[in-house]
Amino acid sequence: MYNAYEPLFDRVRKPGRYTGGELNAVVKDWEKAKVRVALAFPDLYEVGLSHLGLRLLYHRINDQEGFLAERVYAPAEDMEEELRAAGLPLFSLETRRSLAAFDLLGFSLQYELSYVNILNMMALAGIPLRREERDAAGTGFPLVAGGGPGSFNPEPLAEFFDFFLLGDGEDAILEILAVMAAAKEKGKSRAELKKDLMAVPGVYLPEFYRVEYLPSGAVAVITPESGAPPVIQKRVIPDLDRAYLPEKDLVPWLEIVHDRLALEIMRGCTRGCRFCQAGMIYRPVRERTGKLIEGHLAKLLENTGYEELSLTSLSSADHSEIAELAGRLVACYTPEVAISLPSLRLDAFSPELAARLQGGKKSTLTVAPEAGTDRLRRVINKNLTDEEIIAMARTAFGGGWQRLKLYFMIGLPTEDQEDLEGIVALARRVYEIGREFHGGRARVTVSVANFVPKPHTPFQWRPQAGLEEIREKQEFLRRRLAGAGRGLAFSWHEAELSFLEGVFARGDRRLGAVLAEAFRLGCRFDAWPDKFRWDLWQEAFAATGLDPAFYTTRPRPREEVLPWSHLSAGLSTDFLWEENRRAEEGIPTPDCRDRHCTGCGVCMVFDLPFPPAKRTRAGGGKDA
Amino acid sequence: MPKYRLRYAKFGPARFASHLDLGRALGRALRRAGLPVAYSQGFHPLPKMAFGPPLPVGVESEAEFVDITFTEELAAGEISRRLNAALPKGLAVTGVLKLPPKAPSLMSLIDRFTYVFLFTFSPEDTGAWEKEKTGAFLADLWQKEELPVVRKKKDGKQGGEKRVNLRPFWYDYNFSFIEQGLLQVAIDVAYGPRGTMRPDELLPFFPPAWRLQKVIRAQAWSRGEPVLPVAVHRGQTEGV
Ligand code: SF4
Repeated sequence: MYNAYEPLFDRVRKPGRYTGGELNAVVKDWEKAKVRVALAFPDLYEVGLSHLGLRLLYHRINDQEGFLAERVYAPAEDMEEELRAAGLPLFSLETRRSLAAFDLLGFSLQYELSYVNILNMMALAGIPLRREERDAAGTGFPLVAGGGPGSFNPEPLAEFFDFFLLGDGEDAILEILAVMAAAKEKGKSRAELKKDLMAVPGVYLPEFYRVEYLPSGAVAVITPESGAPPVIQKRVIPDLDRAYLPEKDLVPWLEIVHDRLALEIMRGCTRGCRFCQAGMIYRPVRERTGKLIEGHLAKLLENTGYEELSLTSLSSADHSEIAELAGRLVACYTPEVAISLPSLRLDAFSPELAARLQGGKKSTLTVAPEAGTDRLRRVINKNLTDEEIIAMARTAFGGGWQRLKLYFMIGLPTEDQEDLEGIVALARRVYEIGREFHGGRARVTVSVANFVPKPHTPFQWRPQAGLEEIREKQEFLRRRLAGAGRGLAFSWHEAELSFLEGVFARGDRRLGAVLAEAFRLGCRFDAWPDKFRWDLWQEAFAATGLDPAFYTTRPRPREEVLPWSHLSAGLSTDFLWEENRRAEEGIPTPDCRDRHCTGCGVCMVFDLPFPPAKRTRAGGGKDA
Repeated sequence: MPKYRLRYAKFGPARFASHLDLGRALGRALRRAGLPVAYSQGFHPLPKMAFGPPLPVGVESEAEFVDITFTEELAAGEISRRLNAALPKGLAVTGVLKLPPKAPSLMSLIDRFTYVFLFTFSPEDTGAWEKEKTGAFLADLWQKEELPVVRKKKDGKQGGEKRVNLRPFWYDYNFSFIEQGLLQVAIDVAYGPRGTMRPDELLPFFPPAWRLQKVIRAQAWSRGEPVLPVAVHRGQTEGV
């Protein structure tokens, strides 16, 4: 295939990012497809292809007659330059067509700092950024859509997008494409098509919601128009055992970030960590049964030949059959095929099995205390005690591991000096235990992230810590951990990155102007610290007259109309507020799978049995 | 355990795969094919494979080689059939040979490669470059004693450079016009401990009017004989 792009491939780094042709990639007949979808991930190929959701939708769509899906990832800077110099549009991997040639351009919204890349990808394909410009141009351009966690507050993207899908996409995507196919067949206008899409549950079309603001800058009212539903309820696949699962998967040429077979064994989490957006928006918990998982893995391994498989979910160790399942898989496939579990709990497995699942005792074991004291852990509902963490460290080091990573957050609600001291004390204590067992070979990494309050969580009303505060806290930790020993390392996240993430996480529609300006100024790949240009972002805020502090460090009162208040993850606002209050008082809320329903409401909304999928293992256990 | 030498072609989407990429792709294909490949010991066992000299990324090839150890004897034809059914687009096995014990490694065997360059011309240049002029140009280049290039030192931390004369690594050439305006130049290049050259290093010495369409590694040689030539070994060789 020597088309116009070939000479570019010879000049860019890692051309395999753009050439496609992976095993199990699907190239369908363009002419025969009634609706053509470009599935886009606004980050590099290695990152984007690692994402399970988009791979799932890719096969879901291509398995249907009449529908076609191709893929596209954000071009690296060298490819962007080549494309601009050659005057060629950004193209799909499968048939190298311009993104503008598709009927639907669907972006995966995984993190806020990828939003500028979305604008860049549209611009590189010659697609007008603003929805209104595309509408004015007639039917020629694709509809631009988004899905993933970002859909639960997509307001900063509202002026660029035609619609968002909230929640599980496996079935909803086909309903959307069916509506599009019917509209195309009947020759309906773009406006008529959008009206039709309004009827698909879970689909949010921002143009049908008028947002007005108070003089303070907060949202005054969100008014649905043209018969749009007042609240968009997310989509939920009630039974994962009956949900779509492809029997083959893409096998890339390039080494990607998660270069392994991944099977989602469970969706949702009910542990109820108050800071965790995923734990809230993916409720309720739904499991795939062990038998189905095993049978499916056998087929996938046969069709991919992967040398590693991962059982994924938000907390795989909570799957009710996990120990038995993992044991059987290890017996059946290892060592030629490695088996990994993203969140391991040492207490749930025998040391041998734990070592197998963790890639050997030479690997680094991660424990996530999240906060430095028992008190603050009760606030965030991560109900682990110092004692338990120390016991875990003892088990790990005693079991042969030499490297431990402790994961913390700073800037959490109610955090004070004592909590920071707690991080230091805990880290030192764990390091000491490591030295007891392994002497100078013991390694402890203290990884500290900055807390960003997210929509649809109990902390959605909370102020985010400001830049100065975060920098001071990081400095304190750096100073106090520096002299603690050669084997104790400290790593942190850039304060500015987290701050900007916070702006867009809880942002409103006016931020679209900031995104457009940052894009114009040349921001790209903001999630990559070496590419992040805080100076340009500050310029963008200044140019648009918006204050980032308004979206971050300001506490929001209960009565405030939040920009996402018309979008529902199925959680009752009273529940979230009550959780917020309990946080203040340090009252834990148990996992509803262990005891009784704690009233988040999602099971009622979707008419599901509750509490969902009770864990069978006694005690429930503590997570790492 | 029986060891087999495989000859394979690498083209299309596979041509950008690096040496490491290729190892992964082949390991996965062997597993998909369900072939009884032998694994190394340890926590992360790897299939026992030894590749021939690496191919520059972006170059297609009809002469790639890998030695694979299996846990049991297999018919050569079965290996190529099952592996070809499992390989991704861009890789194809074209010959299989069972190796005698203590057979020399590919790296020590191969001493020469033939690269084929395909050139086209802009419409105004097509007429100018006919057989005679092309022959004269290449003969002239062949007569040169120095073909100097500057190489970046591989692990030179300060980004050091080295001047290298390519001429001693150039063993032979021939050319033909497949049709008017489509020129094929075959260049034989030394390979071994005393040095080699990458096909792209020669490009600056060709006239700017020649437009490179592709480069193919067409043959590998050992002491004047092609290594596992396709024609002889397609499927039917067993236990040589
Ligand atoms: S509604 Fe009750 S049982 Fe269902 S997820 Fe929420 S808290 Fe758990």
